[in-house]
Amino acid sequence: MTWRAYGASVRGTSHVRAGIPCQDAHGWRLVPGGIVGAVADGLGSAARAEEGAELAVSMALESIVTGFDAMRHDEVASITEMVRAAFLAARDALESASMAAPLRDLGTTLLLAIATDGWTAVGQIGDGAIVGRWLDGRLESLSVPLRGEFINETTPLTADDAMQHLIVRVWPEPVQSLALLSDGLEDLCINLATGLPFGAFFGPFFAPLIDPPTDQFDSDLISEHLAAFLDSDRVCTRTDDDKTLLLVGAPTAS
Amino acid sequence: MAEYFTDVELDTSNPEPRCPCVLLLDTSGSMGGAPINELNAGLVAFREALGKDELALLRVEIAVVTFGDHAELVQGFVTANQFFPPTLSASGQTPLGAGMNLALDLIEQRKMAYKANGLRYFRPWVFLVTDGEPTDGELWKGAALRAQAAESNKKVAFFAVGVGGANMATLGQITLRPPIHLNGLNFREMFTWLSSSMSGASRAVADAVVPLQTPLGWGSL
Repeated sequence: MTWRAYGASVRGTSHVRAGIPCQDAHGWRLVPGGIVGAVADGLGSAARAEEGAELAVSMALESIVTGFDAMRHDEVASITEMVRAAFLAARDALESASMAAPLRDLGTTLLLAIATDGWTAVGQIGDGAIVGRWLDGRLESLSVPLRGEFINETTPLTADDAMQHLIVRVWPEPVQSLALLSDGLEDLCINLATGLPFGAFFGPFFAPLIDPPTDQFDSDLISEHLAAFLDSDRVCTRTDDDKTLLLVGAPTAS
Repeated sequence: MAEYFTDVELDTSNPEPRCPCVLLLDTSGSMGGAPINELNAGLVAFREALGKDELALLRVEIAVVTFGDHAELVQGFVTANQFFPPTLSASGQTPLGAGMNLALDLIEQRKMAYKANGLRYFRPWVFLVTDGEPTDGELWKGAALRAQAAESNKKVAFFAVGVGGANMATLGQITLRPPIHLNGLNFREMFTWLSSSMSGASRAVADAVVPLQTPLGWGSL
């Protein structure tokens, strides 16, 4: 299968008003027979949140790409360990970057998802969500959001006990596509009481991953359209937080 | 650029998260006359100010507890768009301890209701206004410990405002936050400030600390 991705992180209107940058980040890398994607949401209270989010994404992706070949693909434990190592690598990178400053200055959440021809894995510290579409078309929330008591509280990657909060899930079957999103979008696409994804939201975003032939899939162009959607009045009247959507998937016909 | 994603539908099933605030108001006899009139005018100003923020109207929930003749729930929690300011009258003593306990109980009950209904919420606020000192014996000391524990565990944000000859030293023992002394009878300014603070608190981005807007204009530390 030819795995593909597109995504965008867009500054929320509250961040525009307050003159603070977009503190969400996202990225993806191809691996043999699969793809890995990551989304991070820098904490509003962290002085260098955007730097923390960028670094967490790039280091987690790098860790997966580096460790991918050495891993036993038939063992859930081995996959779990690889995901855990990626979170540790991201956290270590934040510690190095913080230098003498408090680690919390780089506070961020981190979502990671790996889709391959044979299996699927997700990892999460903090809020945000990962929604999967299985080959039979069924949508499922694959992540378990980590919330504090209050809506504006979460456990970041920089918390002392962050690694104890890491949740890794592995499925021995491929997904057709995955959506990773920061908490700024959760209200708009997931029923927060039941955890059920809202199909009419995700369908149009999954379509470009599945339908167009590989030579007609233009990730940069679709990402621009996605950014425009995330910045539209429709979305901004519903959420004033930063928002990220990252889509990965593979065409069914291949 | 051609319109993409115009067929995306947004989930509208999620209720707005709630931002509960208990107004804990002294209606003892000494508040009679100008103070209670200005306090009532302040409540009206509070509602008007909240009315200018469509999101806050749906998210901020207000309850009113008074303490005078006795501690009394004058208004149970309602969203701001359902809040019609009561007209309070002043009489009796200052059963502050009972009032504080009632306010803290209300918040616990409200949180349980939120959880039972799958509602997300922000940190609750208690906003205490008094012109005297507690008259219900030692009750206030236990209530103060309760309020301080809730504050230090970040369960509640508890603010205290002293009016006129309020015993600021006692107020200082009640809340972890330094009490604020109201300038004259500037209740309207105080409630306008509270409205904008609640607007901010009801949409705080992840983990942001809600800044206390200073200078207050209506009071001093």
